[in-house]
Amino acid sequence: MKLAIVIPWYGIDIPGGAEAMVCRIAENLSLRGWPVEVLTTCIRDFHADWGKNYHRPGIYQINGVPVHRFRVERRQRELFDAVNRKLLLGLPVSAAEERFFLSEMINSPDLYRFIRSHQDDYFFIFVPYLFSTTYWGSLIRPDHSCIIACLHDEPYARLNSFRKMFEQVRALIFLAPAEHKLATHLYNLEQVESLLIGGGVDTEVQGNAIAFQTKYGISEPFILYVGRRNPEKNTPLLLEYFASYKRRNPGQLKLVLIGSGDLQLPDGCEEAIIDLGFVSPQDKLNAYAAATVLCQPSVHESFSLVLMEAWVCGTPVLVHAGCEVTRDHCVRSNGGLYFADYEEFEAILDLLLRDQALVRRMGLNGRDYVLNNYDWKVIMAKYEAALARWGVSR
Amino acid sequence: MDTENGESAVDVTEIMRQIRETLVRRRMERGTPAPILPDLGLPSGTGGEGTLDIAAHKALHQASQLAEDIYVDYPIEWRNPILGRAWAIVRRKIHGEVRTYVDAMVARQMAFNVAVVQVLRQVVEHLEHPTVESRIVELTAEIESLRRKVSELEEQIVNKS
Repeated sequence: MKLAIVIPWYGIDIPGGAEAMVCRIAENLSLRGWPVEVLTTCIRDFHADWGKNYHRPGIYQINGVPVHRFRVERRQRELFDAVNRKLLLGLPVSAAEERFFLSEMINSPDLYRFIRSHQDDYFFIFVPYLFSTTYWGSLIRPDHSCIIACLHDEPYARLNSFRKMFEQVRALIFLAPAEHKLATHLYNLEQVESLLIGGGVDTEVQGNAIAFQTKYGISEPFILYVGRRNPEKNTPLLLEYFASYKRRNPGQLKLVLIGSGDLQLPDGCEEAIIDLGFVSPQDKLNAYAAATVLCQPSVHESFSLVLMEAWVCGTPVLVHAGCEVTRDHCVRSNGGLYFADYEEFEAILDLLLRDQALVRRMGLNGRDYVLNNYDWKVIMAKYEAALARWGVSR
Repeated sequence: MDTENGESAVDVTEIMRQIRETLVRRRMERGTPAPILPDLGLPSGTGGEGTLDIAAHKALHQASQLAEDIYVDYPIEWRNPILGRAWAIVRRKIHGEVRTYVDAMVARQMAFNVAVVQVLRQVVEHLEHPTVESRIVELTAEIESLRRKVSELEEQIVNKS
């Protein structure tokens, strides 16, 4: 039996942590001789129109992995948006609205036909839980289906349709202990094989703090933020807290941001906040190495690759206490601290700025944590054991 | 605990405990309780010290946000240039009729929501932040207990020497 990884969009240069992780899993498995293929749609990426075929349908070879792209059909976006708005507001939705939500999200009958006609030839891994490619696809052959959940504590996770989906597939893969705990709290997983595998991280990389300081002219201590800037990622909260900190503690500390999205800078902080936008992968590593601390304020994380990247470069992290996944990483690694409100944010920053030894030790703890748990070698060994159990053969 | 190179090991949980203890002491000195439900609806010192758990605080925060924001837009569009357009006109007419009484109901519901959330916030504040006086009583008792322990330890030291 072959392995098919099913994801709504696929490409080596598209944004998103889950998307990047899937590329690496597929490529690593292919390099190790596993018969892996990717089934995806012609949609460009998450930010594109989900009813528009950006790529041509067909079979592509991307870094040695066969990628089947299937056409999507038009969808009633207004219906989807109406239900989505209700869900985002935390309002209850009816069974009919759940159906609209799933049927008008991504429509790819060709993809589902392919899965149906090849259901005996493949074991399917669907990523992530939230998209209709996962819902409709895993319904076809649940006993040949595994889902890499990427689950957050959010209204979508409480939809009946997803509950049924989670409870009937063969296996689930989780990226963090807290994500697994959330799933067992939300669903009855007694009959489902639950695997805590984690996300893979490149550990053979190195950041150069001096190179960053020289290139960008930033020699002051700074908090680093890496990722999309939007309310879902809690970026406005970080800006607000940083502005408050600067008002109460005028000093050299800066906030450096890397990533995409608009920023509404707080008044009076324009000089202390440095927006670098997109930078090269090596510059990003150098920034991690140069930072005093990486801040991840998001409360909706299922793994948080940026935490791991900062730790690989020996930099401690500061996360929001409301995100069990990132807080749990900090506690397990002893490589980061967590704030629940502004006062804690301020107290932690004060501590980190005055205790360089603590910063260094926490950074090293984080690095050990990543090397022991999330190095690609560790992760691939877990995937290979699971694939052999599921009947996929090299 | 010390590491092999003589540096003390890091215990994040212990660091957070000390930070939170310091903040509580500062608040007590100022005589002001911790701000309830900060920006993300999480209590200060998240981690289970309060009477209510984080989920309850999150739920209340969400309720506060939703209380006055329960209107949902429902844009009516069409694809088919003739039939679709005609059907959209009919749907808009029906939609408009429905909204005349639904909007009135929503307004009442919002007033009710706001009142309930206000009361709930007061109840939570009362539960999570007992008065400064009662906290002083608790701390005085704790000091007395610690003094007794110190005396006992002093006696033990004197007896041993």
